[in-house]
Amino acid sequence: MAEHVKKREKSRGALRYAVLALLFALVLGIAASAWFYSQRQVAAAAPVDSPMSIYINAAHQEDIQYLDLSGIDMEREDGNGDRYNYQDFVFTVQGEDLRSFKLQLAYTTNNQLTFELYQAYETNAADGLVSFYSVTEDDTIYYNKSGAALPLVYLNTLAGSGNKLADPASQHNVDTYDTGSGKYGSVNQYAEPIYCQTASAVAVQNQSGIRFHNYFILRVIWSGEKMNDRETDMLYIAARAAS
Amino acid sequence: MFKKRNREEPSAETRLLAVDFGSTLAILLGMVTFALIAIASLAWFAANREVDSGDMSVNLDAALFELGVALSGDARRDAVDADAMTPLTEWSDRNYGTALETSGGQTGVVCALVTDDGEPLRPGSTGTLQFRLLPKKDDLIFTGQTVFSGLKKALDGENAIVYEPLDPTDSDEAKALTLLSSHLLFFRSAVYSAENRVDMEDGFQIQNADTAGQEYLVTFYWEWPRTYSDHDSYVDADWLARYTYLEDGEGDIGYNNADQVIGEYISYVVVELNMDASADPGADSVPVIAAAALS
Repeated sequence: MAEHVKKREKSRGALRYAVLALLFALVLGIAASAWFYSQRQVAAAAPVDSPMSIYINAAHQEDIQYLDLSGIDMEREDGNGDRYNYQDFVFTVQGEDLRSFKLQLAYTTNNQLTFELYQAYETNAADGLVSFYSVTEDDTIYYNKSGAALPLVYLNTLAGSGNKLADPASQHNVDTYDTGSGKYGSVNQYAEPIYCQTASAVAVQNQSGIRFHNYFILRVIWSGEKMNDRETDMLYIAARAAS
Repeated sequence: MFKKRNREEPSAETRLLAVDFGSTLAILLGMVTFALIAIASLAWFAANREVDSGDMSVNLDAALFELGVALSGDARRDAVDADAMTPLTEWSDRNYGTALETSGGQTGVVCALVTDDGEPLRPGSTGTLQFRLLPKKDDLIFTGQTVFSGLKKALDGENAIVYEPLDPTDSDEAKALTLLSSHLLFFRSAVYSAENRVDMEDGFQIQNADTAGQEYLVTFYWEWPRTYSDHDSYVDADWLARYTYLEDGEGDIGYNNADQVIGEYISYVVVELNMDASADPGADSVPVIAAAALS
C-alpha cells in the first residue's frame, strides 16, 4: 500500500511537471502564434535603368573592320558621262536594352565634303541602292534608304557657310583650297572639325528581346572643289544613347 | 482528457494508469508543441520574412493590422510593369498577392517604388515609398525591417522577356543586392540628411498609428545618390564599413562603379518591408517614422 502511495505521489509529481510543461508550451505557442499572425509585408518595386550597350558595326551587323570608307572616287562618272556627287556607305548601330539613340558626326574639313544620314533597311537586288558584300553570308546584301535624310544639328556652324565648313577666313588655312599655288606643306594646319548630331533621337528597330539593330546609310557628298588628290579627311561616327 | 477521466472517479489502479497515460501524453504534447515552435521559428529565421500558414494552421482572424497599397490603389502601382508584377505576386516563397490590401493568406502587398521624375531608377533618382497601415487594435507598436531583393531579366526562348527573382546564392547577384542596399538610401522626410536617414535593414518604428480602424499613410523618402561624395554626407563610418566596396579599398571609384553592377544584374529593385505589431515598445532604439492619419 505504502509503495502504491509512493508511486502515485511520484507520478503526480511527474504529472505536475508535465502539465506545467504543457501550459508553458501553450503559452509560448500562443505568444509565438500571435507574433506570426502579426507579420505583414510590403514589397515596393521599381524598374532599374540598366546600363545599355550600344556600338557601331558594318552593314549586316558585321564587324566594324568591314566598314570601309576608303576609295571614294570623286571623279567617278555614270553611263552618261556625268560625275556622281556622292557615295553611300551602310553601317549598323546595334546594342541592348535601349529605346532610342542619337548619331553624332565629327569630321575634318580638308575636303569640301558634307554628310547625310538615312535610316536604311535590307532589301533585294532590284530595290537596292547600296550593296554590301557580306563575309559571313558570302553574298551581296542590298540596302535602301527609308525616308528623308535625318536632320542634323551643327554645333559649330558659322552663318553663311552653306556647306557647313568652319570659317575659311580664320579657322583653317585658305591655302588648303588654293590649288594653283601648290602649297601642300601647310595643309589642314588650322582646320577645325565640324561637330553635328541628329536633331532628334532615333528609335531602335529590329528588336529581338533586349537586342536591337538599326541600319543607316551614310551619304558622303562632295561639292565645290572635286579632286582625288586631296589630303584624306577623317570622319568620326558616334552613337549616343538617348534613353 | 484529464478532466473527463477524473470525473468518472475510477479505482485507484485505473486512476494510476490514467495518470501514467496522461503524463506521457502531456510530455508528448509538450514536446510536439515545442517541436512545432522550434520548426516554425527556425523556418521564420531562415526565411526572415514569411508567415508560414501551412504548419501552424494560422487563425486568420488574429491579424493585428493590415497593409495596403497607398492612396489611389492601382494608379499608385502603375509604375510596376505588369510583366514584373507577375513574378512578384507569384514569388514562390512569398505571400504577395494581387489584392491591394493584405488579408488572410495574402500577407503582403506589392506597390510601386515611385520615382519623382517618373523614369526608371538610376543614380540621382529620388522618390517615395508609401503604404497604408490599418491597425486592428489600439496602441500597437509597429516595427519594420527591410530586405533588399530584386528581379532580373531573362530571355525566355528567342524573344520573350521574363522576370525572375534574383538568386542570392549567385555571387554576382548577391553582390549586386549588397551594393543596392548601400546605394538606395531611405529618409524619414524629404530633407535628405544624415539625421533623417533610416537604415532600413536595421529596422524602424512607426509612430502615431495608434487608433484601431483608422487608416494611416506611411511615407519613406529615398534617394540613389549620384556620386560617392553625395552619399558620403549621409552616412557614418560604421555603416560604410559594412560594405565590401570599401573593404576592397576602392573608395569612391568602387562606389561609383557599383552603380554599373546594380544596373547589370538587377532589372527591378524590390524593397521588402516586413512589418510587425506588438504591444511592447521593445528595447531597441530605432529611427521613428511618423504615420499620417488618412481621412
